Formats: sequence, C-alpha cells, structure tokens
Amino acid sequence: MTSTRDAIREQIFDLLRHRLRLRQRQQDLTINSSLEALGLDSMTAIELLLDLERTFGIMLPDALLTAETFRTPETLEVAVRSLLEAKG
Amino acid sequence: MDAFSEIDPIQLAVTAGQETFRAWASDVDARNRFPHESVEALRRLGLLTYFMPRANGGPTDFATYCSIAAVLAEECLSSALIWAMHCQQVAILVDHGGPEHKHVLDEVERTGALVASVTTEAGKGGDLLTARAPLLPEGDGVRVRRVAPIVSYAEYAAFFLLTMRSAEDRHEHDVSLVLVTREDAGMTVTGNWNAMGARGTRSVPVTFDLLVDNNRVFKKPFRQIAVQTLIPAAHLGWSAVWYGAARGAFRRFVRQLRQPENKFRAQLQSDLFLSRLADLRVSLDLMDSMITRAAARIDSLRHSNADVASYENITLHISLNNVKIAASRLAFEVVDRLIELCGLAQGYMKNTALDLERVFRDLRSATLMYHNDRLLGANGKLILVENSGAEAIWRRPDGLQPKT
Repeated sequence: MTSTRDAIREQIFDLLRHRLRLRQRQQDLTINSSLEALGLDSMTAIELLLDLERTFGIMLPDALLTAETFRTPETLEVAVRSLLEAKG
Repeated sequence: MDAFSEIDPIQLAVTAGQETFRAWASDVDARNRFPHESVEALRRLGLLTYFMPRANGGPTDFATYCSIAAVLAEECLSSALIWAMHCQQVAILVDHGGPEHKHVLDEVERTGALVASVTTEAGKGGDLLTARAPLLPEGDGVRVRRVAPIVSYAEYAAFFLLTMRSAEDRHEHDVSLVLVTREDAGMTVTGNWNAMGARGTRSVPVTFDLLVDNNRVFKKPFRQIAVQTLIPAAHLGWSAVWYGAARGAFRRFVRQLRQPENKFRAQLQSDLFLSRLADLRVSLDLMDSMITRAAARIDSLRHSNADVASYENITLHISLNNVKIAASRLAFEVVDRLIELCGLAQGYMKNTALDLERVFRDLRSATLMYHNDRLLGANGKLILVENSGAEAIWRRPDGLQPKT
C-alpha cells in the first residue's frame, strides 16, 4: 500500500517537474508547494490534466476540475488516488 | 485632428486608401521603406486615435475597427498593418493604462505619434503570454534590458509597450507590460527587415537597455491585458487586414472584367471561368462572416463592461484563434488562385494594375505571423476540455497581485 502511494506520488512529481520545466530552472517541489507560484498557468494546467489522465488511465470528472485540485502536489495526489480507488 | 464626429471613419479610410495608399504601395514595397505618405494621411485624417473615446462621440467599436482595417488593406497591406497594430497599442493604453500612461494618448492625439508593440523574444518560441527577460529594480526605477527580434515600425514609433518577466524570481508566465519612450534613449535597431512581403512594416530587430520610472509598469498582469484587449484586437485586426488585401485584389480583378479592352472578355462566356471566380467569393464571404461575428461578440463584452473572467471563456479563445487561422489561410489562397485564374501576364508580373504579385507576397506572411501551428496546438488542447468543468481551472485567477 505504502509503495503504491509512493509510486503514485513519484509519478505526479515527475509530471509536474516536466510540465513546469523545473529541472531547467533548477527548482524542485515539495508536497505542499504552490503550483501557481511555480508557474502553473491556465494552458499548463490543461496540459497537466491530460498528462495525469493518460498516465493513470483516469478521467477527472467536472467536480474535480477545480482550482483547489490543482493547488499543490498533495491536492493532485488526493484527487488521483480517489479515482484510482474508485476504479478498483 | 478630430474628424470622427462629423465624418464616418470608414469613409475617411476609403479616402486615405484611394488618395494616398494606392499611390505609394508599390514604391514602399520596391524600396523596402516605411510608408511615410500613408501614415501621414492617417495622421491628417485623425485615424491614429481610433479606440480613444471622443468628447463628441464617434465609434470606438471592434466592428468599425475591422471595417477600417479591411478598407485600408485593399490598397496597401503594410500601411494597414501598421495602422491596425498601432491601434492595438492605443486600445491597451485606453483600457488598461494608468494616469502615468495618459500622456502617450495625448501625444497620439496631438501629433499622431505611433505606438509599437514589443512581444517577440529569442528562445521563447513565439509564446505571447511568456517573457524571459526580467524587470530589474535599479535605484528608484526599473532597468529594462530586452532583445526583440521583430518590432514592427520600430524606427518610426515614439512609444513602445514591452512584455517583460515581472521580476527575476518570478516564473515566465508572470508577465508585466512596461511603457518605454524613444526619449528614454536606450533603444538600438540592430538589423534590417528584408522580407518577402509586408516590407513597409519595417519589422526590425531591436535591443532595449534603459532605466525607467516604476510607474511605467502597468499594474495589471499582462495576461489580463492580453486576454481582454490585445488578443482580440490583434487577431481581428490582422484578419481584417488580410481579408481586405484579398478583397481588394478580387475587386480590382472583377472591376475590369467587363471593360471592352479586357483580356478576359472571351472567358466571361465560360462557365468554368465564372464558377472559379464565384468560388473565390465563397472564401471572401467566409472570412467576412468570421470576422464580423467575432467582432460583434467582443463588442458585446466590451459594451457590457464584462470582467476579465468573461474573456477567459474557452470557446471564445478557440474562436478568436480560428478567425486568425482561417483568415491567414483563406486570404492567401484567394490571391494564389486569382493569380492562377489571371495567368502569367496579369497575375505573375510585378506592377500591373491588379498588383497581385505584391499582395501574394504580402499575404504569405499571414500564417507565419504568430504561427498557426502554435494556435492550432493550443486549440487542440482547449477542444479536449471545452464545455467541461475545466473552465474552472482555465479561468481561475492568476493569483498575481496588482503592483502597488
């Protein structure tokens, strides 16, 4: 269970590092980093949404398409895990 | 200067086009020079103050803006583009400028000074909404150090609106707009403009290195300025110019078809010729419809003082991109097919009465000017999330506080 959670978190971090181009900017993020402060703008949020859906084989319902879901890596992880658990 | 209240500005544009633009368009292109005469005509007729509210009324709507742009472009695409782009900057100053920016509008009104846009930057791949070079606090002011590969009419503008990264510790999407004047003395033109077409726009590379007052920086985040004003004005203004250029070529061709000495007289009996002619008109009508509808939509938002969130509507973004994509393609195709219809002597030669050769070269820039591939890529992503709850993540406030 723990290793699955770690794997999910690591995948999310990887996607974020890629989308926010953190490696080029020599920045990194923590579980509570503000994604907006790291440069997550409207178009990048949509690209990230598509990344997450493709990577985890999920589709975020309207109820989860909120600014709150995309606020931090943790809020993203909570949303992703809830959908994976619902999938079974 | 203020002729608008008495005379229909579209009629003024027709006058400028027929009396001045037409006379000089070929020379401007041949000598790769700025269209001084045409811009002076615009100045004299008071057309450089479009979008500025006038004491005794007069249109400031997008529909009229597009009509003027098309009329001017029928005679000279370069001059029309200069007018349209200058007006985009005027609109930004009117909509979003503070008291410290007002003197620019006074100068535009008093002397017809031109305002240019600086948004291009090496290495950022043509993305309007990002900027790399940061504003750097220096003493009481801010250092503006910026390299811009393409700045239209930079050699002749008195004022410039530059996109800059808000600060060194901010990310590339945190963009501010700053006003810089020629009198700040720190602008260097570093190269030439020697292009296939749109030669009169003199879109030269420029370097800026100067120190300005903090109050030159617009308080609103650039994204808001772009979404509310610049993007609608740019997409619709350019599209109207391209449409006008194609329409002008088409009208010139049709006008002479029934004249006795016309070389195409025999072909007027040919159904093939007539249906090819008619087919071109389909493309013209398509452009007209898209531009008109989008302009009406923007005018409706502006008239109701809609907040910036309304302009962030995904469907609106997609359609504004599509007006540009469609017009850039269709305008060029119309002139390309018109040349095919005309044949070598009328279509392929320089400096004929139809001027197709120059307009063809001018319009080839349309798909490249803010490359359609970039817009199509963005639209592809937007289409995937259109009409879903994604509006909430798209439209969310940037969290960027206005500068105090």
